[in-house]
Amino acid sequence: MIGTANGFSVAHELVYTLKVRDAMRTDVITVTPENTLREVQVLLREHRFSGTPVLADGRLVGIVSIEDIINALDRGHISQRVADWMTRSVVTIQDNMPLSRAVEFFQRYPYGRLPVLDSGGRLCGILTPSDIIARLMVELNRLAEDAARRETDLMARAGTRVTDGSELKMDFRVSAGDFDNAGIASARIKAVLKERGVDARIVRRAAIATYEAETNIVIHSMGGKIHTAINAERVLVEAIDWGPGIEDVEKAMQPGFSTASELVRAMGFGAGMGLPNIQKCADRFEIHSTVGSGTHLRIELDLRSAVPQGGE
Amino acid sequence: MRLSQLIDELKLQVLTPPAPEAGVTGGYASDLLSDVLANGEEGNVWITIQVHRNVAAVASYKDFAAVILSGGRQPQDDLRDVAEQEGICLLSTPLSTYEVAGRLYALGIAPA
Repeated sequence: MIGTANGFSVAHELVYTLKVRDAMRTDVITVTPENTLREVQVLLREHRFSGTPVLADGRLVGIVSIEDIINALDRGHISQRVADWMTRSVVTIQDNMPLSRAVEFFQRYPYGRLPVLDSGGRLCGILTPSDIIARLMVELNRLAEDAARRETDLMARAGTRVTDGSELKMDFRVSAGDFDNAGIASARIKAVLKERGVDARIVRRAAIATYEAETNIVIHSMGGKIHTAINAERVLVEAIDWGPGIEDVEKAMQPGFSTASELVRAMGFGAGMGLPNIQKCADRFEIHSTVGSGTHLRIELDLRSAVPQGGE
Repeated sequence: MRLSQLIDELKLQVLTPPAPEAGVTGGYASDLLSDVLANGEEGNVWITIQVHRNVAAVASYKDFAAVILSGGRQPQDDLRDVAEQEGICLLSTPLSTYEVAGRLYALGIAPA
């Protein structure tokens, strides 16, 4: 297994959220069982590949690696057919598996590359450890840029906007996988409401609903933002993320239903109570989600009604 | 019961100090944060084995009297830092969650 028992790094989370298809190469050069090992040798040298899958009628039937070629040269069967010398028991991986699975495979098996199959069992790519590393570097870089941008936002937001009618508006950026900063928006909202002398139970419900919405963005989305507007009557919290969207909203609203990864659950998230908790805390709650574009929560609490609603 | 009294009775390790005169209304034991957010109550002591900084956020939103890290667990550094800043009392004990809850009951601390 990758990772450590203690602590939790961004790279670990990425390796669980990214899929094999996000890192694999699709420009796969294949050979047939009828090719000679000599032909494969030329191919590997030309493309600087260390191995190539063998396809017969579009089906993966084996793999020839650079080791096979070296053995063939050594033992004098370099001009024989691939069919006679290829490795037939090939370990493959599905394109929709998390990258963590691929990392495990590379640790468990002595292979340097994994053919990737789509749900129909057809070869759709090839994955090597360096492909994984390259992909992680890109993602980490993107997260670092996000963090820098958020820092700038925070600076810019030192004074929050107060619009006419004394409505206070605040925006918070929330990054995917950033558990350390989950809670910034909810802490701020709590502080503002407390300062305004709002009933402690309402403050608590608003903070909890916002915190659940923030952690949802951190755990499940590709990033998003919390927008909040507070006036004398009510607090409005909108949690907007940029995908991937919820397939079955009704199911997601059921207590106990969760799609969180094991790693996230180990931290105590992913109890499947987030959305139900938000609904319980809110006076008005709407959820709109579109697969492929994202999820939009609209959470409203009345500040004047002291009627306790729950969430306690 | 006063929190300071409870700390003495259970011989808890004090990681960040309790508010003076803080009282305890009851307890909640769970490692699922959303469960705690839904079911913990103000003034509770929360028993958990989670040790990352989100524990402080949950404790702060619920206005818990204290968090007891059970099974001898120690907080990650940033949890200790945030707890200090937010004035959250963080305690640790070698006792298991089950044992801590049992002791609290024996001391007469039960849900209202």
